[in-house]
Order: sequence, then C-alpha cells, then structure tokens
Amino acid sequence: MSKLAGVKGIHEIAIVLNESNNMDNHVAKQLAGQLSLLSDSGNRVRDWQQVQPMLATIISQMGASNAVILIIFVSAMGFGIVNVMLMSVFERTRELGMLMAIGMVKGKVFSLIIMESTLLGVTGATIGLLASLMLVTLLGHTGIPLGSMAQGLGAFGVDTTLYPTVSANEYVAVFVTVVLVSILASLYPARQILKQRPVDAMSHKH
Amino acid sequence: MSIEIRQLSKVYNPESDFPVHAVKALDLSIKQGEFVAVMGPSGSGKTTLLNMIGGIDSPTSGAVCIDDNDICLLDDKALIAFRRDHVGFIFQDYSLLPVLTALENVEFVMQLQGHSEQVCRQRATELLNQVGLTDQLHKVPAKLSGGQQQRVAVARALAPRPRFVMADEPTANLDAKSTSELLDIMQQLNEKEGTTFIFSTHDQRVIKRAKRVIVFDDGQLVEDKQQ
Ligand SMILES: Nc1ncnc2c1ncn2[C@@H]1O[C@H](COP(=O)(O)OP(=O)(O)O)[C@@H](O)[C@H]1O
Ligand SMILES: [Mg+2]
Repeated sequence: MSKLAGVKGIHEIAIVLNESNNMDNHVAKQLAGQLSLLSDSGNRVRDWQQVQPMLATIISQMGASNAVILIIFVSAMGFGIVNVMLMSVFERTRELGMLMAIGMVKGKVFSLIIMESTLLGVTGATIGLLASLMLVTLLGHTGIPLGSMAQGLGAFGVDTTLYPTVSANEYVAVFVTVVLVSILASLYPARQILKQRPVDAMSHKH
Repeated sequence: MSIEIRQLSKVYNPESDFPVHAVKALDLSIKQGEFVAVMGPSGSGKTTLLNMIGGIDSPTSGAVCIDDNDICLLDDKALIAFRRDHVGFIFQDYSLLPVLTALENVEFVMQLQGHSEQVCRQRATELLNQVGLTDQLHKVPAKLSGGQQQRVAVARALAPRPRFVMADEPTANLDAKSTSELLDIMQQLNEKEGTTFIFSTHDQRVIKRAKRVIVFDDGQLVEDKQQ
C-alpha cells in the first residue's frame, strides 16, 4: 500500500470506540477535539459522521420511518383485535340474553363480558409476546443475513447481517396496548346487547 | 301466587304498514299449582304470550298481575329480580351454558340468588336425582342427549324455587320417549313442589297430559278447558 501510493509511514489511524451509541457520538467528538489539539497541524481528525455524512443522514432518518412503520403495524393489530372482540361477544348474544332472562343483573353481565375480554387480551398478548421473544432471541443469535439485497450497505462498512433486539419497554408497551384495545373493543358490543330485551337477544341469529 | 292477565295485547311493528297483532286483548287467570298447556298452530302467539307472562317481553297494552302487582310496571332492575326469584324458564333449545357441567348449570341460577355453595350443591344434586341424571352430574351439555339436556333445564328452572315455570315448546326437539319422560318429571315436580307449569305445545301427546288446556288461535283464546 505504501509502495503503491509512494507514501512513507502511517497516513491514517482509525480509532474504534467500544461504547459507541449510533448517533450520540459526543465521546468520539470529544476525542477528536482532544486529538486535534495534540497532533500536528497537518493532520485532520474527523469523527465518523464527517467521514460518512450520507450514512449519518440515513441513520438519523431511521427513527421517523420506524415510527411510521410501527403506527401501521399497531393499527393493523388494533383492527384485528376489535374484529375478534366484536365476534367473540356478539356470537354469544343468545347466551347472554338467556342469562338476563333467568335473572342475572345487567351489571353482572357487563362485568362478565369485560372480564372475559380482559382474559382473552391478556392470554393473546402473553402468547404473542412469548413467541416474539423466542423468535427475537433466536435471530439475535443467528442474525438475519441480508445477503445480496444489502451489498450497498457493505460499501458503507455496515455489517450485512442484522441482529434484532427488542427492549423490555417495548414489550410492556405492546402488552398494555393489546389489553387496553381488547377491553375498549368489547364495550361497544356489551352495550348493544345490554340495551336489548332478553327475548330479542335470545332470538338473535348467529 | 296467582296470575291475572287483563286485556293483554302485543303488536309487533305497530308503526309499519303491516303491524302484527300477536296477542289480542286477552283475559286469563291462572292459579297457583296449575299444570296448563297453551295449544295452537304455529304463529298463533303462544311464544309471545309466554314471554310476556315470564317478564322477558313487554306488552303493547294491558296488564300481567302477579299477586295483584302488575309486572309490566316494574323497572328493569325489579323485573330482573322478579324473574330470578319467581320464574323458571325452560327453552325449546335447552339454552344450557356449554362450558358448565349439568350440576354447575343448576347451581349457577341459585348462586344468582345468593345461596351458599353448600345449599346450591345440595339442592342441585337433589333435583338432578329427581330428573334421573344421578350419573350425569359432571357431564357438560354436549355430552348429554337432547332429552337429558332438557331434563337439566327442568332442574335448573326449578332450582331457585320459582312460583311458576314457563316452558315454550319444551318437547319440540325431543323424541316420543324423552317427551313422555320429561312430562312425567314435570308432573311430579308440579305435584311435589306445587310449582305452576305453563307450557306451550302443538303436540297432542303433551296436551293429553295437561290438566288445563288453553286453545289459542290468531292471538285470541278460543277454548279453555279442564281435563
Ligand atoms: N320479533 C317479532 N317481530 C315481528 N313479528 C313477530 C316477532 N315475533 C313473533 N312475531 C309474529 O307474531 C305472531 C305470533 O308469533 P309467536 O308468538 O312466535 O307464535 P307461536 O309461538 O304460537 O308460533 C306471528 O305472526 C309472528 O310472525
Ligand atoms: Mg313459538
């Protein structure tokens, strides 16, 4: 290399920091500042964002695009839950009508519906999260090879194998959302059924 | 407890071009302990009448007085309590809770009344013995035949010690043998517990067993005979 370029000695030193945190590279900046003070005036010290401004921009935009994708997924999930809840309550209209007929007070029928929906939500969320935990842990070990799709990334010096991680906070947020949506989605069918007279609820066709 | 029905009428879709007069200005009185069959062709208004007496449907006009109290004037809450404590229902499609065993189905209605677990268990077991299901206590409805399910329903209707039991075509889905067994059981309970039974049917074999037959056609009483 030095023969080819006809340069003597060292012409570039790359410093890899252990604790680098994507965008927040103030440690790198600090270090760069200190180094430029120490070194000769002929040397330039740059952090990676200056070396690769394009990659820096892409990464800084990632937060926004992630949020958009998350919103799309969460609303799709929300509609799914609403659909399941409407069905699971309405398909039992006859049974609930019978309960009112034989003397169960409306408050009890209501709490029955809400309790069942909560249980359904908690069970569904738990199973879903356990499955995703397993999948994410597995992929965290094996990684997701992006292969030829991401050869461009390789040019930026980025690994073409992804190691997904999900934080505990995100799991909690999803769990709470699922359970809340389940409960909210059962309020409407519960009201619709309780408003009917027992005969009408019982003559409900599936 | 007597049932006095005065000028009872029910009109379905009163605002429409074709209102249906399902029950027309009916007067009827039923005394405690009677075993009454309401008979009539399909569409004559039997179901509508039974639903109004049982307090699960409301009349367009008229009164259903139980011991001089018009149940049509009760508010929602009082009406539910009235049904819970005084009316037993037997439905054509049995309407048992599918996830509960026979025993739990019967106990459940007593729990609504606030009886202790022990009292519920004892009475439910006793009633299921009486209807001949001693060996089926812990089976869920899906594991029972139609006749057996309807017998569970009879036990459930009787469990809260109601003053009267409403049964809308209770034998419509049963074969001849199950029908006859069910009637034996209903008759026994009627005699033993003094519970009033009012059931609708268009089955001649069932009508023969009734002590009083009310013939109904087009929402009106055509005949009322003791036998
Ligand atoms: N929910 C309803 N809406 C409109 N019409 C009804 C309704 N229920 C019953 N009817 C009509 O009222 C009449 C009496 O019905 P019903 O009481 O079910 O008779 P039955 O039990 O003797 O067959 C029939 O003409 C029936 O079509
Ligand atoms: Mg009918």
